[in-house]
Amino acid sequence: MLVLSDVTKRFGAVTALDAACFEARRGRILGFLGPNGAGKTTAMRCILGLARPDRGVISWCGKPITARDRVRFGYMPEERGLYPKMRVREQLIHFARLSGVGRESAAVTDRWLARLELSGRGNAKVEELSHGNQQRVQLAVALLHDPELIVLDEPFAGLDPLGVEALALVLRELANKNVAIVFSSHQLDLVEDVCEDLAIIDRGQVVLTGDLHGLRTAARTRRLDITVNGLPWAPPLQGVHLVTSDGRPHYVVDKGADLDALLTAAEQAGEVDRFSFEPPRLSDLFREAVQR
Amino acid sequence: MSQWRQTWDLIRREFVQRAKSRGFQIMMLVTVGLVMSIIPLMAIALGDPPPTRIGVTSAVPDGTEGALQQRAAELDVAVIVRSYSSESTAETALRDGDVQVVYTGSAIVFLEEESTTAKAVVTGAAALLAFRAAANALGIPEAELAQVLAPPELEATILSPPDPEEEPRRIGSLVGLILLYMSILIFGQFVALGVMEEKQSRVVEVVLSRVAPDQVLIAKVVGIGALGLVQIAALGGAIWLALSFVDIADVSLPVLGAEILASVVFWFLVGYTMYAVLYAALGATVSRQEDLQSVLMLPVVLLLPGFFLGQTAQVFPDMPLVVIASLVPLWSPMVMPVRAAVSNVPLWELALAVLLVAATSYAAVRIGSRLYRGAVLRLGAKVRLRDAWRATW
Repeated sequence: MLVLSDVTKRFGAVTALDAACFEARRGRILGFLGPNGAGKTTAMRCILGLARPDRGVISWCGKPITARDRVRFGYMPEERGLYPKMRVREQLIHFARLSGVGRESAAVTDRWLARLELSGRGNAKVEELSHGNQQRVQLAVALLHDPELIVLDEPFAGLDPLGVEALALVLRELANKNVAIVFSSHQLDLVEDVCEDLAIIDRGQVVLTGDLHGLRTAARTRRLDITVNGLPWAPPLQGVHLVTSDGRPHYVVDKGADLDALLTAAEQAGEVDRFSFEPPRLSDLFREAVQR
Repeated sequence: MSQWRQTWDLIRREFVQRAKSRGFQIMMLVTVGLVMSIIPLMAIALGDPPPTRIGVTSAVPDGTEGALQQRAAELDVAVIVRSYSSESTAETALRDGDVQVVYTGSAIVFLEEESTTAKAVVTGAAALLAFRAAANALGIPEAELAQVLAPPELEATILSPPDPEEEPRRIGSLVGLILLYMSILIFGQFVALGVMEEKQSRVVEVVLSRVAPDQVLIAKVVGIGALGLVQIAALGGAIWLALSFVDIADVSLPVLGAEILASVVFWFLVGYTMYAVLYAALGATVSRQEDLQSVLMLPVVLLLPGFFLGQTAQVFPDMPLVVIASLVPLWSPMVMPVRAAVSNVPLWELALAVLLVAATSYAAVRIGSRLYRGAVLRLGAKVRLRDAWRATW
């Protein structure tokens, strides 16, 4: 398990991480969310040893992370990073060796090239590949040493729907093999579909973290969507507000709202076409957590 | 997974990828070609002077050519004599550069200026012919005349004979100096370029997530330095091979060449290490090629005085400024090998220079790796060295 405890990182006057805490468990996928500049990349860099926290501890399997541990991690940075003039196969073998794969490096590389449908491009220079294929090579660099923890910074950015689906499938397979996965994204629907766990960071602080299902059911609010005579119906409750920015227009109401009373009131207003009372979606949790 | 193994993999990548690059291959071809074309000129400069070409007209008395060769042999110079049917054809040959002097039997003609050697040979030969004619008229036999005219055998003593190796050493040390300066400059720039490219392509983030920054820095310096050694070996080898065909009395050019090459290799290792780390730190402060050129002015400014002082050391190896410069770590890798090649440098001075430059290299590695660490992951605008130094990365 990866644990960040009280991790603080400052760059001059800017506090990028402010006592941040969250956990990523093996066999599960954690979605790491936050507005731009919230500290996601800095937190990931601290995990990978690319930035040194000013305070706090990052541990793996109960012990502070060492350089030896990091060789067993896989990393895909936001901006991507490959040697543009180096040939694909050569490059993958190089990174496999750096990650301790040893004599198997060439065989492992060929397996990944085949899996990512790049076998015919092994001798091409990376700069000669399409954007999508470069992404695949980058993914292979992160995965070819069978890491125990994989950290991906915006891995879905720039992928077409088929690419998104394929990557999500790869991540799910890895999680099933007991790998811990942390990835950041701004695509909340995607995170909701793919992740079991969640950490939301805002202004350097982790404001919400835990099991996504648990967080949704434990939330104080619910999404209420009632349609009467084909039109959205406003519930006669105090303090409700209409949300129109996220999917179907709906009301956010208190978890303990009296559903029987609401249904009765709706039926008195006309023919009820739809009555939906469900836990908040990830987008609701996110909005509430960052209070924007 | 040992750190050594990782570092070795990084070194190998640096070496192989840079060696495969078109830029390096073109540079190798051009420099080796340049050196190979310079060698014949060096051979001329170092070898015996070419023979003096003397044109004679049909008006000269019989036996002139023999007399010219006899005088030339006595003066220890080589001459080639060419005969022309008339004074005007001989003059044309002189103007065309076929001969350097024309002897008409009554006059010596030069093109632009007199040649003392040619004049001595021609005048001597004319005198010899005149003596022969007079002796013939007086009935003195040829053998007796030779006896009369034979110069007395004088034993020559040279109190302070010049070192026959002096000139070859001077030229060799200059070639070595140029090789050192160019190698430190070129391969230092390769280091900076490599660091900048890794930063620009962001691949450094992926590498540093697996390997410590110091390992990356060391691998880059060592890998590219090894390539520098290959270039020096190729150039030095080409020069050495060419020198083995040049013959100079009392001097073993291959031995001298090997000595200078060994010195170049040693001082390259020392000087390159010191400067390469500086280049790496400077390369880490920028993410764009356009910014790289401006930051690379600093090492050039630091290196250049060493190059000029090295040239001075060739002629004035004991000048106080040169002696001091040969001990200053920034310049000693270029000045000391020249001094050592052309003069007898006391051993303690050599040892001190090596010690100082080694200590400076160690400090450069420590400082350079801190600056590298502090700058290489800071993307975007140029990083100030002060900020890189303070960064806790």
